[in-house]
Amino acid sequence: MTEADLIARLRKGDEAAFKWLVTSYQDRVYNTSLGLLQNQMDAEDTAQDVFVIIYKSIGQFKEASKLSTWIYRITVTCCLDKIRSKKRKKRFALLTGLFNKENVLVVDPENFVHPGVLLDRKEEARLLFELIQELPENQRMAFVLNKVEGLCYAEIALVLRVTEKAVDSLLQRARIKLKGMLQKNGIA
Amino acid sequence: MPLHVNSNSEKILSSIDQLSPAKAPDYFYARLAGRLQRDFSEERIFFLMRPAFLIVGFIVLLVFNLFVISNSLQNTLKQSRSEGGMVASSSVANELNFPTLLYDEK
Repeated sequence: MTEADLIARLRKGDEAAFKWLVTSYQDRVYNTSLGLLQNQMDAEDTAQDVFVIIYKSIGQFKEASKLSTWIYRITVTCCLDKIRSKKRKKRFALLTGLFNKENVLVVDPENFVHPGVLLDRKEEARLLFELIQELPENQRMAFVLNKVEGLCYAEIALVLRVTEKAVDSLLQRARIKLKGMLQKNGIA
Repeated sequence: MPLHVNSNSEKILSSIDQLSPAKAPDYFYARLAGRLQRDFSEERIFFLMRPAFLIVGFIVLLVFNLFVISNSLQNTLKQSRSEGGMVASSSVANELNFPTLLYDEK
């Protein structure tokens, strides 16, 4: 099935086409979400959000970019929304805790290790993922898309709507910042 | 910068270089399909709960109430008229002074 056929069928509300789309992209969407959110439950929720958005707004897709780029763009946006809403919740956790009897877990469990990390590098990877959370949003997105999802500079540039040079600069700055954080913590 | 610091930080930075991508959990599509169905049924309820629908519903209820009230008022008016007519007709009958045994005796 070509991409144009798939999009045409999705626009008609074809359930089989939607199932095909989900099974072809679910791992990529989930992996990207997991890299950015560092929580398996949040990653699955966000991956579902992404496909719900795709299902509802496929009519608005103008085919100016590849379908995969559009999907990555939605994924990154959904992840950022989730991160921001969690930050907001954390900020008001004390206040809501005073009035709300439900004890909802707002703080993420620490020691996240991506399931794809090699066994002998788990400790280093755990540390790196912890520091990735401290990076500015655009650097974090570029770093995760490159290192976790394995996208090339050109693809990242399309997803983030920047130039390839800007992607290169973002990745370099992210590396420098991570190195600085490692030195600051006296870990290295 | 000491050499060991640099090599350690490089080791940490390259720890996710050969990362194999994570796979979506089992039955992902089944859960997604369930969620989509739930979303659509909720959307239908929200559609009916929109202010426009609520206002129209309220107006329909108001009009129906007015109709019922005016109907019942008309019915009572008709009833009172017909009762008044009966009284009037009986009085007319009395005024005719039909000869009765009672009157004759008086």
